Parts: sequence; structure tokens; C-alpha cells
Amino acid sequence: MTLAVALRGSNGLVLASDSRMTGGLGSADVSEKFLQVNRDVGVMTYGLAEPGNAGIRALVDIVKGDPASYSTMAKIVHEATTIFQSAFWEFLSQHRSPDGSLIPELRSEIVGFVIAGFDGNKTGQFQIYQLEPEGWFAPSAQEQVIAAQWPVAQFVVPYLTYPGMSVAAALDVATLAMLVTSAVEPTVGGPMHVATVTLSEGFSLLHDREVAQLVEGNQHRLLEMRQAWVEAWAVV
Amino acid sequence: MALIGLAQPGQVLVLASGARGDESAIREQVLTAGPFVLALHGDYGNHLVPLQTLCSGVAHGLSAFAFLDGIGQYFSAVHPDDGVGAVAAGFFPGGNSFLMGFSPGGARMMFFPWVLGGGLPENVGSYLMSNLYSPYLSHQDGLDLCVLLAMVYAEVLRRFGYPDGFNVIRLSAGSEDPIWLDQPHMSASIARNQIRLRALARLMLGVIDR
Repeated sequence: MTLAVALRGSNGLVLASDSRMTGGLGSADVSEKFLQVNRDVGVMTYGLAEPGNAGIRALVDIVKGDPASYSTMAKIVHEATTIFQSAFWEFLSQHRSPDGSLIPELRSEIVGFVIAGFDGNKTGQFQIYQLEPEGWFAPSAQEQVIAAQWPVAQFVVPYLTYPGMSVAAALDVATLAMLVTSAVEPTVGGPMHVATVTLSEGFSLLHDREVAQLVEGNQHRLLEMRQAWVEAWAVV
Repeated sequence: MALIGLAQPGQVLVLASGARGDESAIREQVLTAGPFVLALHGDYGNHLVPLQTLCSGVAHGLSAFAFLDGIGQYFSAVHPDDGVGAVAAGFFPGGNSFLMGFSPGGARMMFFPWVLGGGLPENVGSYLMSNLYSPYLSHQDGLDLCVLLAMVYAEVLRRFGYPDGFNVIRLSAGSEDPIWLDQPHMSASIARNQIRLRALARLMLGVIDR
């Protein structure tokens, strides 16, 4: 599966995902779920890897091939709707039983996308859009996204976030959400992929060493969270 | 319909969800069978009457092994594509508690100390249990942990009506019949957990700051 997180800070955005792919033959921690679309925008996928990767690669190719036509977030998101739908339909058409029905292993699977970035040429805002097949990939604007294997992170993140949180703090929150989820959810794991979107740097994918520092630097917070549970339990 | 089972020395709890405010619907899926309990989840509608009949025929004095064998035989005859599932709870001779899961086709699995049914994602429970479970929890703490799981699932997943959409049946070692906990017990447990969750929010505030 995946855990996909897009958090909003006062000075930018944080995107994070794990790298685990799971399927009938087991799992591997090699999935690339993030791509940079242009200087200020990134795209992330979760759920089914095949249509997800096909969708984000196609979007990046089209935008990079004609950047002037995709100068605003609205134009990128509009194009993405068509591309993601097409990638998903193509995938479904290749995975149908002879009677036309979807093969059983895929009936409960989904694919989803997050497009996030700074819309400098139109609104001047940091924006996050989520696109899922339920609405035929119609984009929905979000304050934040916690998707795919979301339940643990959905519980933990509100305890850790606060209004006006900086990108640096949001990086810690995203890291903690990833660590606590991967500790209890076998379909989430492997090296984290993390990116930030800020005015000064645009979309910036963190290097492996920076991600390792985030993981190491948050170990004390993991312990403090555990201690918080124990102390909270003991108040009664 | 979702359920949570928690077993500890001397006590087994089964917490079941249901329609808000409809006590009979809440309890319908949890069948008592002499000193044992059989909690159903999934598409149990077609299986309710035969399993009720089976459970009502279970007499005090029947061994846990014979009870589990009877349930196992029933599920062996259920088609593997049927969406029903069940969790049996009770005590073995000698007093060890058990939570045994049954699936169509006859698959059985023993769980300890906790089990979920009805499609609840296991990761939330694993997260809470990894932080809070101890084999030395008191029986009241065991009840509170079971209720806390339901409260968190209610909050995060909207899968339990809250606070009046779940009920707990308690099996105690050495006592004859499982007992549904009354509303004052449930309300007290919920109130204790609300204090804990408020404390947790306060304590977590400092985590990102350090």
C-alpha cells in the first residue's frame, strides 16, 4: 500500500511517502512515488503502483515538454485529471477477467494522487490537491492529505500539529507519522521519500542523508510519544 | 458491525458495535453459549439463526474444546466466499482465557491478547496496544483499554457510534455466565479514557517542541 502525507506549514508544504510495494509475490522497498513537475510543484501517488507510476510520469513528461502551457496550478491539475483517468482505465482494461469483470485481487485496491506546490503565477498560494478514482479523479483542494494506509497517522498527526507550524516542524510531524505507521503496518516501510515546497527553494526532494538525519533526529520524539501514552494512562 | 476482543488473565471482554441507541441491534451479533461467547461479524445475517440454535444448545459443563470444535465444524461447511466471521471467547479448563477466530472454510486462529472483527484496520489497534498493553493490567484497566480502542476507532474511522454505540460483555474466570456491562460501568470507563486522552493531548504538545 503506502502512506502518503502532505502537510501544510506556515512557510510551505511537506510531502512524504514510504517506498514499499506489495503484491502477490511479496514486497519490495523500491517504489518511486514522487516526482517533481516543475520548479514549484510536485506529484505523489499511492495505492496501485502501476497506474500510479504511469500517471505521474506522463504528467511530468507533458508539463516539462511544454512548460509555458502549464504555468499555473489550475492548468497542471486540469491536465492531470485526464492523464490519471486514462492511466487508470488502461490499467483496468489490462486486468479484467474474460467476462469483463475486474480480477478479484484488484476490487478493493485504489490508486490516488496528490499534487502540491506553490501557485506563484496565479493565486500566490501553497496548494494541495488530491485526486482519486471515486470522483473520476476530480481534484479536491485540501488543507492536508493523509492517504492510503492513513488510520494511525490520522490519529497521531492532530496531536502533533499546531496552527502556524513551520515547514521544519511539519517535516518532523511527517517523519513521526511515517515511523509510527511503518512500525505497525507491514505494507508501509522502506526508505522514506520526503520533499518540501518553499518560496525560496521551490520543490526540493530531500537527499537520503537528510532523510536519515530526520529519522535519527526524531528518535527522542518517538520515545517521548511513548512516554506521553504511559503518563496519560496513569493520570486516572 | 465491528468488534474488539481483549483477553487477559481471569477476564475476557468482547466489545461490539451496533446501531446507535438500539440496544437489541448492538447485542444481536454477540451470542452467549453457556459460559462462552460467540461474536459474529461481516455478513452474518444468514448464519444468525443456525448459530443461535447451536449456541443455545451449549450447556454449562461442556468443555471449551468441544464448544470450539462445534463452531469449527459449522464454519467448515460455510462457503469460502461467504463474508461471515466469528470470534469465540471463554476460558479453557485450568483458567486460561482464549479468543479464537473462525473464518469460512474452517480456518481458525488463536489470538492473544486482542482481536478485531468487522474490517477494523489492525494497525490502529497495534499502535495503541504496543503503547499501553501489559499482562499486568488490572481488570478495570483491561476494560478501559478495550473501550479506548473503540473510542479511537470511533474518532478516526467513524466505525462505532459514540459514546452509546458500543457495549461490552465480560467473561470472568470461575463465574458461570458472561455479563453485559451496564451503562454506569461503560460511562465510567469512557469518562476515565476522556481524561486520559486530554492528558495525552497536553503531553503530546511538548513533543514537537523539544
